[in-house]
Amino acid sequence: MSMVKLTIDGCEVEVQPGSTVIQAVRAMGADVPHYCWHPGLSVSGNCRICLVEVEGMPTVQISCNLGVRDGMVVHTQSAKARAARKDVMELLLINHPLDCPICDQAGECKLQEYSFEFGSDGSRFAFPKVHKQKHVRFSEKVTFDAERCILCTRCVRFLDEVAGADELDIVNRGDRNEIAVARGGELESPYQMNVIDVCPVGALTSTDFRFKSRVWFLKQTRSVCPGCSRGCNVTVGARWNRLLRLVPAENAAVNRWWMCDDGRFTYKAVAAGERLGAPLVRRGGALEETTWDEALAAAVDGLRKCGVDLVGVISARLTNEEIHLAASVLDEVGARARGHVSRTCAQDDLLRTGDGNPNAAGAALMGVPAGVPSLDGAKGAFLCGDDLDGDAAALAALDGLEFVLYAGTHETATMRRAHVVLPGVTSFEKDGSFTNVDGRVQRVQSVVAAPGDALPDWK
Amino acid sequence: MSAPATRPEPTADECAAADAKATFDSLRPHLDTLVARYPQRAAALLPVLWHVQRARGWLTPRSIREIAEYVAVPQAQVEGVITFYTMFQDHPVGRDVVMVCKTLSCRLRGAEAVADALEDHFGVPMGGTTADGRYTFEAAECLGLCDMAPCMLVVDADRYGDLTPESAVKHLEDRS
Amino acid sequence: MGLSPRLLAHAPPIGGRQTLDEYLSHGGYEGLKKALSMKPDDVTQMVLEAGVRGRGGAGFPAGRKWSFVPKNTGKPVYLACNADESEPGCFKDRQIMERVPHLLIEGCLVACHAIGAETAYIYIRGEYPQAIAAVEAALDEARAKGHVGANVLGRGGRCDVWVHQGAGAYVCGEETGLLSSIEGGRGYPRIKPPFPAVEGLWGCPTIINNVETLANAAVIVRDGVEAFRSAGDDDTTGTRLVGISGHVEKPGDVEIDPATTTIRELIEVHAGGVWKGRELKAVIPGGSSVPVMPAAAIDVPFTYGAVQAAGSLAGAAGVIVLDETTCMVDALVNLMQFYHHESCGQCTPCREGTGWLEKLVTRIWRGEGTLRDIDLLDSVADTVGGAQQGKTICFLADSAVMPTKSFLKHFREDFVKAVEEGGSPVFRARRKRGAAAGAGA
Repeated sequence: MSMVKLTIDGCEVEVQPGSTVIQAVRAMGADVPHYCWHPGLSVSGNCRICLVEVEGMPTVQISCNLGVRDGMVVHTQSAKARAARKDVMELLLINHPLDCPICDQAGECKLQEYSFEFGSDGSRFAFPKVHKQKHVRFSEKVTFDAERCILCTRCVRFLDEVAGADELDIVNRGDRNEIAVARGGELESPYQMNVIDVCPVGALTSTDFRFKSRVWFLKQTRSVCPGCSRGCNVTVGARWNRLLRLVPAENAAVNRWWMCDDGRFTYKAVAAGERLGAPLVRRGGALEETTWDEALAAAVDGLRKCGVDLVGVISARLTNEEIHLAASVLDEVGARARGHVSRTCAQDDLLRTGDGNPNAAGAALMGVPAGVPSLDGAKGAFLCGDDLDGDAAALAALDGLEFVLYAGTHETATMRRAHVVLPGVTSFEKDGSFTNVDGRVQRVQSVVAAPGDALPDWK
Repeated sequence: MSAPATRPEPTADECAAADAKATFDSLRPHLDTLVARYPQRAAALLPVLWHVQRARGWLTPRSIREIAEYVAVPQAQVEGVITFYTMFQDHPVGRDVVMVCKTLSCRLRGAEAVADALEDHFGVPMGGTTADGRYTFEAAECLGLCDMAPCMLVVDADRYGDLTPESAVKHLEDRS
Repeated sequence: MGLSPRLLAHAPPIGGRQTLDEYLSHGGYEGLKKALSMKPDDVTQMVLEAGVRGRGGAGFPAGRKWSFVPKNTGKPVYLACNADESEPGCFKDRQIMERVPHLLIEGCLVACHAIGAETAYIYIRGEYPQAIAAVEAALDEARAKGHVGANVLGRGGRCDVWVHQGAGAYVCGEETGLLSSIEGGRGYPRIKPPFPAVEGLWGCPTIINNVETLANAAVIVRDGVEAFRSAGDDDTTGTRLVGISGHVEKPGDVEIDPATTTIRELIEVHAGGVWKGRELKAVIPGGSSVPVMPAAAIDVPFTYGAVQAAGSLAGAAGVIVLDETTCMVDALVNLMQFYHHESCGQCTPCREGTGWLEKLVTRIWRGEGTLRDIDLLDSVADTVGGAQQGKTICFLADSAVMPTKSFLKHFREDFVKAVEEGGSPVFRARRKRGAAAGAGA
């Protein structure tokens, strides 16, 4: 089909037939203010802030539901369009609480943004505002403030259309409308936290993140979720060298605008348990702290002695670069077998793949297949990034080995059986890349510094 | 809907009493005929709500769960529908619900005095239920009976028009 | 004047219902027989030529609406009859449903044949139990005699007609809100496009017509275009059912020739004049949503065009009469309470704006307003909406704005008086009563 040609604010634009005006405006790199419209959800047309003027049409039009036509002339910045949007903005704010100073959304709130653009310096509304419920528990993960809500229904539509779980709806009528879960119920969808991201205002907040930090103090880094082999793109927020949240980053080819709740909490593992901060070597039966030089020397020595009788377990949670390096070490020594620990996770048709290793595809491509090779008859083992804590038999087999080299991030049962321990870092503490389930290589970026002397495995 | 937002939650006894009036299974045969009128099951929601409400007096939490399951609509959505329409009751109401019209054509002919008389005589404000559980009064928007203004409607039953404060009270006192 | 009624011909008085036998004895279902012998497009053409405009308020030509149904989509087509007569001041459709329900049913069947529908839903507001009972009883008769059902009049065509009972929501009278409600949802109006004629009920082509419009369709096919057009003029063809209420001696419904009947005649001849021998102050001619007319403006015939030229709209023909004693601030407070209560809350300007308008008028009504509040009210009304603005999904907000603007335009002095005299006389009387009863106002 041939492209549709229209004029927007004096610029000629060509877009796919079937596009809407707001899509055309965004295609040319501009935007129209919008609350209820979301590129990943159906058109609802209720917020009315995306009004534009179209030549030949007597009334202003919502650009989110207006199809493009050849020869259409659209004005997003005409006096008429701006006046209409200003009216809508004023009405949106009359019953909205003035609690921006303590609102978690402050700094990434579309009401604030567009008020800045269109708002007046004072309100003509001199009445008590409509009061509604505040800090309502929608689930242990999601907290709702009905007074801040602008009833855009993005959350309702997300759960219905994307997550396939109609757990939210609107109750009451008119200016008493509120988003609600079923009476006596809670949100259960494993994707429910996306409603926090799609909420354009501070009505839906993350119970985990709220009040932890103003968002403008966050160091925001784009990276990849380590939760499963989907490799959802994320923006990691950190402050004071502490990880505070993961939110999805748009990637049309991978996760679109979404991610699962499990993935959001992967950051918690980083600070959980006992992190390894220094290299260790076994002396007289006990693991003792040492220097990197000594530890590496002991490691090289131990690996060389094992030679062909070495078995390598290289984690598919490591980056491609680390896996490549670890595999080279195994090649160098001539290790007889290698593999990675398989991990399962929840699986569904939306994002979760069921494979809990973020770099399973990368590992496989570099000759590190799924599954721990047999330790029968082996002299030594190199456990890089994986532990065998989940496999009692394998764990027991480690006790019979002459040499066990462990490179990892946390204290584990496996680690306590090692002869040399090299402290590693999590995916939030290093640069590198993961190859996702579809073979897409995606960049992982360091967000926070690792504890002590821990180093990425490639170092 | 027209009752105050701070209404107390129904008690377990109130719920049980309403649920005991009719089992859901006893309602099913008629509900099935309602579903058959529409190409999609969810469309029967309003008629199903009406039928269950008539049978049980009001829509109890149990009724809502049963209806949601019956029409295959999420419970949150059923609750959204019930609270949107003024004539669906999700709290206990009197044996009859009396809608007293307050809108312009009635107001011009004395609706306010009628409402005042009913409140005074029955001792409850609009939105309230008489102590004996006989009547729930609701201030209603236009009932479409402007030709007999001022007027009131006993839901699902009789309408009374050309009301005076006295006749309004008498009509309700005379109902058995 | 001197018109012999068509819609309400042979209609029993309120409280009675014309049975199927009675209807048949007056030529009932002859229109349907004729329609079924015609090609559907020819029926549509006939209704188009008759020029009947939608009687629900918008006045869109019914025949043109029918012609929008796309052909051969492979989808079923539906007819939805809008019997959610909820506009304050309107009660004309109730007359048809209660008194001559078979006329409506015949109209539905004619329309279904024209648009190719096998199912019609008559959406009757929940506050009309008598109308629901009458239409259900008539449908039972019609089904028993084979007028409705699997084999309409023995010609092999199926046409089911079902009553769908509303449950108290004015906005369901908006045609797409009505569709949402039939589908079992909150009565939210829908954004357009898609238009219902293309994607209505369950995504299928759907035509929504008012009760009186469909009744007229039956009359048109039965009597022919020429006979139909013998009443009315080119702008408003056929008769109109008009409800007259408020400050008149005899409120009620009358079927008139709109071209030859003025609003003054409606009041003075058909409704016995302004009550209690008082003078007329104002008329809201088309149901509460249309602009109010001052007494001096009412010597116009009741056609769409003439009433519009006089500054208002014939709308859904609910004529509300206000006498000289009426405080217009009190009347407007009442209407703003209505629109605020009935706003569905889906879209921003209406959800937030109808409440704001009510609060502003109430402040003036209570004597707490200033002269500046009167201007503010006027200005906020513009912010909320108005004809030809397009800020909202449906016309509910505009329906609150039109009375507000026109009340201020024609009766500003009442608002000024309320500001200067400590509130509307109605408020002051009420406060006195409250004080006498020992309670707050």
